[in-house]
Amino acid sequence: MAGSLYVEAKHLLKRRRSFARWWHSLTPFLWVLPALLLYLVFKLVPMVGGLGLSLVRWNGIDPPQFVGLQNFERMLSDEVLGPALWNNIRYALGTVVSKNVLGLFLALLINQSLRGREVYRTALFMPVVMSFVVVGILWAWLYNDQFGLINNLLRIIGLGSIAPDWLGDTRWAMTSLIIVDVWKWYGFHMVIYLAGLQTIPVELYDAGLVDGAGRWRRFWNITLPLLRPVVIVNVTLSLMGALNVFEIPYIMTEGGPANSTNVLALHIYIQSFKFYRMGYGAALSYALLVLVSVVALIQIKLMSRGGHSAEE
Amino acid sequence: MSSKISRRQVLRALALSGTGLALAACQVPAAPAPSAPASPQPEPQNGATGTYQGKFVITSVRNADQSAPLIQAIEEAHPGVKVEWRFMPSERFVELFTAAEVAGDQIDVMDLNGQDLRRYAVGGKLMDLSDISYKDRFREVAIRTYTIGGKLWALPRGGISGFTYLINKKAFERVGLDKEISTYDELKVVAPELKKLGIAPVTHPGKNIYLWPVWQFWSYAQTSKNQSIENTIKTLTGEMKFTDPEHVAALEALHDYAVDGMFIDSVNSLEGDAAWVPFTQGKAAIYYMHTSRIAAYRGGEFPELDMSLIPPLRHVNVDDAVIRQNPGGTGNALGIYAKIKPERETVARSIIDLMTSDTWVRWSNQQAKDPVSCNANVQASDDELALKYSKECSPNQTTYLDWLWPPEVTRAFQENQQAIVALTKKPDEAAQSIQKVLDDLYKDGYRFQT
Repeated sequence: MAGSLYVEAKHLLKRRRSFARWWHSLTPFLWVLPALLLYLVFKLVPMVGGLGLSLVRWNGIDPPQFVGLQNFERMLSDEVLGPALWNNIRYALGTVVSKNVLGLFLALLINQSLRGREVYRTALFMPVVMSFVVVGILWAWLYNDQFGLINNLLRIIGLGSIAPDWLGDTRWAMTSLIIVDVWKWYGFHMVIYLAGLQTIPVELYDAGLVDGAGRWRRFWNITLPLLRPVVIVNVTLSLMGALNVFEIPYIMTEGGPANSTNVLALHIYIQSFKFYRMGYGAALSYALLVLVSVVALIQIKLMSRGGHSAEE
Repeated sequence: MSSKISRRQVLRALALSGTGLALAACQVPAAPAPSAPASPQPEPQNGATGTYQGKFVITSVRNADQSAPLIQAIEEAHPGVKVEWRFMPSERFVELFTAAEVAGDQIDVMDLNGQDLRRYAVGGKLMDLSDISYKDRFREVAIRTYTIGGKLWALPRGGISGFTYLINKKAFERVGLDKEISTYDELKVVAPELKKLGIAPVTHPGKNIYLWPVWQFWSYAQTSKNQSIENTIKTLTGEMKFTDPEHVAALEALHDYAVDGMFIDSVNSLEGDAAWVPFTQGKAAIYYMHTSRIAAYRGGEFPELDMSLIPPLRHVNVDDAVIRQNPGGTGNALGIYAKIKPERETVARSIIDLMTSDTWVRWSNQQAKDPVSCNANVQASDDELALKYSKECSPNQTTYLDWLWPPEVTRAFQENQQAIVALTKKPDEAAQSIQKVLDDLYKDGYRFQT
């Protein structure tokens, strides 16, 4: 009798322990459950819904009509799509290179022991936290040909004859937007580079100094190789941002003049909410998703080849 | 002394603040105080108001703050009715209305931008109002504008206004021109003199892409011999093409302004205020803009500006018999949602009656400083310039063509006109691009409904 009670108690204890273990293993999931639910409701469900939308023709008024893959086929004959993609590529080339070079350069500068370093960091980071609308309006005024600061400064120093019509000239509009994007985001990339720089052991630089390596040599042979993972992150983020860009062209030029700053995201917006082609807009969004994913994947693969890290 | 906070405490604090925020967000915001102008007293309405009591939804392109006295009057005239005024700005009307409809929200009355009427009328979203008994309350042109396929889909609410050439008389006087300019040839003669004085002949907010088609509206009115509406319908139904000579000639008019250096420098990068400022400072002689600028002119002090207004200049090679028409609209389009619940239809009819009554339209006209009222018995404004518009421009006003164009064609005009002004495209090339957009629409199943 006593033996069977003992076995039963042991069994109960075991069950309790296994329940406690199961409950314990479940706890982390419960902590993230609210975030997962939000992700599900506001990300996954709309994404799946968007896929459904891309298969219908719907103008927001009449009932949706199933058209299969017609919306995807339509892209092949969309004459604005090609130039918009080309504008994205130009935008990406301009912003990715400039933001990363400038961000790295500034990170190197303020990584040194300077007086008031925190003030510089804050000041340089400030554009990142400014709203796109504020940035757009601010720069539109700076670029204004009649009373904008930039052209007036050019006039003061005698270069008025070459002062361009920044946002109104098809040759300059895209460059103008690239400058704004770089100004808004270089601080973000600078902070990531700064974090990367601080993980590089000082001993390596000391060893380099002992070996007689100069400043440039130390940068090229120590800093840059060890920063490779950070460079990959920064380039990926800036590239994806450039391919998805919407706010700056929308606020500053609305794709003009003469479509010279029309980008894919703006084209999607116009198709969906100006031309009421909700299905085509959704199809374009999926095409953009695939494009961004593929480009980012290729870029990560290419940049990861033969990489080093600070731990090696 | 250091006090450590545990993760659990942080999470609890976050949960509490989150709940607090959620509760705060659920609270109804405080009602804004009604603003000027002084609101008229509600007047008795025609017909029965029904017995409906409860929420009544008006979607409007005007905001609730502006409309507070009107909302109050509606509620006073319909005891038990609580108006929910949903502001849906014109540029976001489609997305907001679609979202509301898909979500099954209550919609009763739609106070639309006139531009959107066709879309919602032919889309079956509006009730046929042809049976209303008080059509004679409105000016004929206003009723005609909102009649499609022989049926009246909305009542005009507000003022008749439009785009006109605002001129700075002082600027022209400085180059010895005392009389009102009336032709493009005259402008060409004085333009070099104006420029010598640092005055641009014409300023325009060209960065705002939506404002380029207004140039086509006046120029096509002239090159089509005042048949712009009729011929636009013919073009959209396939009887004519945008590549026909009269369409191209209208684009050439804009090209002439660009090639002859009439526009202010950097015209394609100027926004509303940036184009208005040089005009007010005497640095531009003509500003082709909406009549709402009359109020802005009266509201400010501009020593360098003596403003007047004229219809668009007669362009070269245009028959003398052709009238210089300017484009305009006939107020908001006030309609009843087609799927309104039957128990609210009577009250909806009573409310649109009130909203378009002489009393409330006069109030609306004063608010917007409209030059001409949609209501026949209402004098909108006694301002000298408004009266001039009413006398010299309004009788020849033609409806904005983009109220007929599908949005794709409107966009094609915007882009191509910008390109013409930037001198990156010639008028005939632009016309071909625009026609191609229409051809593609036809392939896609588009049909213009008359």
